[in-house]
Amino acid sequence: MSTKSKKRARARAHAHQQQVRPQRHSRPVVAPKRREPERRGHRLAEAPRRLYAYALAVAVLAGALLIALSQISAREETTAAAPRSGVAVAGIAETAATFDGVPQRGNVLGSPRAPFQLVVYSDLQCGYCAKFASDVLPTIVRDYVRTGKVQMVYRGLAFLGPDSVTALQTTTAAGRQNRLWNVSELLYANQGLENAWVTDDLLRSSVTAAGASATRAFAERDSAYVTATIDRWASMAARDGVQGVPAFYAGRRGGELEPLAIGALTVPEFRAALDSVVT
Amino acid sequence: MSDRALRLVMALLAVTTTGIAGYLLYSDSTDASVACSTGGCETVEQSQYADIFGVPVALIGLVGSIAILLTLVRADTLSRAAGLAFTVSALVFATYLVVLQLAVIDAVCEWCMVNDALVAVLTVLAGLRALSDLNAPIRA
Repeated sequence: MSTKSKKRARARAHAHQQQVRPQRHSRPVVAPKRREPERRGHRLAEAPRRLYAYALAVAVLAGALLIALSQISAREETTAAAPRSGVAVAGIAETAATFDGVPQRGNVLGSPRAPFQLVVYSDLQCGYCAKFASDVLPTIVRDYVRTGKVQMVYRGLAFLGPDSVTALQTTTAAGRQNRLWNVSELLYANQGLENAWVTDDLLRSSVTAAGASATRAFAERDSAYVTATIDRWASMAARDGVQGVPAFYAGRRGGELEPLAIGALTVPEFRAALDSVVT
Repeated sequence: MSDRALRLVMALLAVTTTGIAGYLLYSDSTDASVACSTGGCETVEQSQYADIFGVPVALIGLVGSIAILLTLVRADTLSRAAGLAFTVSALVFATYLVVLQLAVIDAVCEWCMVNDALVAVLTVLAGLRALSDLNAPIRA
């Protein structure tokens, strides 16, 4: 090969290298080695998104499950407390209207912070007690208890016979479910001939209508708690000098209570007597 | 707001809901009266919705609040997702309880209402934690 032809061959080879080199150093549009990390990053970004989606789904399901369980539980509680007999109970709507929304705890009706207290001694077989319950009590609850001014305290006595005892035991047991006032009001509304009207069917229906569990009240009516409570009320009545029922004592809560002198069991008479103490 | 600040605020709120649930549970189990200006707390507490098959709703709230607190210990994705799950489920149930109080029981328990409002705020904050996690740079 001549010198000229050797030079031409070297120039062609150099030119070829020049064409190839830029390709080697240029940024490839689709470079397989660069695509792999991008895919991996995409997968990593998807993972938390999916985790949060699962978390939200599980959360909504858990909330819905709690709601369903709550509904089933409440329905079963109502069914278990339903009366097993067909005894019709009078005064359910009136009782609900009187006490619904008013706080109750045991034998106490009304706000725990009410400045005044009205104590009622009564026997569930006593006719005058029933008259007070139907004619006067609803107005007193509306005007004095609901307004937070007066707190009422029930103290049951049982001196008119075995029905008084049975009715008081069941009513006191219902106090464990904070429905004592409702049950006593319903029993007064269904009062019958002395010692001939308090049946288990009536008691069961009354407790149920009051919104409490009759099964639980029946189980607890012979309990030590009920017996001790009734004994304590009897002792308090003796201490306060109760001569007959209904008997009323009122005054500042926590202070000395004084007996209310009531002439006739009417709203104006009772209101006047109560106002003389609580205003 | 940084994740640290979000966790701090959420922890304060969760401690408050834990306290409220604990107080309601204590008053329920000891028959102590609830400090309640509306008088509705006891009505709600005595309703058939106050427990689920014998388990007090306050106990469920207490366990849920503690669970939310535990999700705040760590800042990783799993903790944030668990926190979101607990708060959202709590919000769903709290909304149901509010509807019950207003429409069925017809009495309002102010402690429960405050608790429900705090759960709503906790849910928003848990959502913010989740969003900040999703918007963070990809950790390839």
